[in-house]
Amino acid sequence: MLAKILNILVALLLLLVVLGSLEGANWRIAEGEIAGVPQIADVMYINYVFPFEVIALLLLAALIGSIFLAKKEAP
Amino acid sequence: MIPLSSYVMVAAILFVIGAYGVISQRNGIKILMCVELLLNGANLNLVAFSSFNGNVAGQIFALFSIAIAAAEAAIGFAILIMLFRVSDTIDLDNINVLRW
Repeated sequence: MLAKILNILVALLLLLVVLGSLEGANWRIAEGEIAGVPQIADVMYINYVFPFEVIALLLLAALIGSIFLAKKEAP
Repeated sequence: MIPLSSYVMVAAILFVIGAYGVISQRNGIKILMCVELLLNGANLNLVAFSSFNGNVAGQIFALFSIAIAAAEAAIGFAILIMLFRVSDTIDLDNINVLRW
């Protein structure tokens, strides 16, 4: 019971801190068009090709690793 | 048009729900779900700031982050399967084989 109250307290405190930090924030907002899919494709396949390939390899590694972990027979 | 602060507020609430789940739940699957909530809060921030700033890089980072989240979930569930085979439970309070 105490742990439950403490958990809720910590969560509320975190919410308070995060929302409090938004108060009076002064963000620069660009005028004009909001970026769409064509721009995303351009930047992704021109500027960020290498991270894209690395992510592909990472997903392959995660696939192989999870199959290896989960397929083992029970001891 | 929805202002930027609304997006950030929703992302903050999502993040706090995820953090509350991570610190309060003891079931492995629930904790993994709450970690996904944390990542979704961060992704929402990335996409909101990127689209309001006219810079596409943030949305691409969000895509990469979603891919990382998928890999993390796959490995996490595989580890949970192994834990269940070894100790017949996924209640993380009862799993202390790595404790010093």
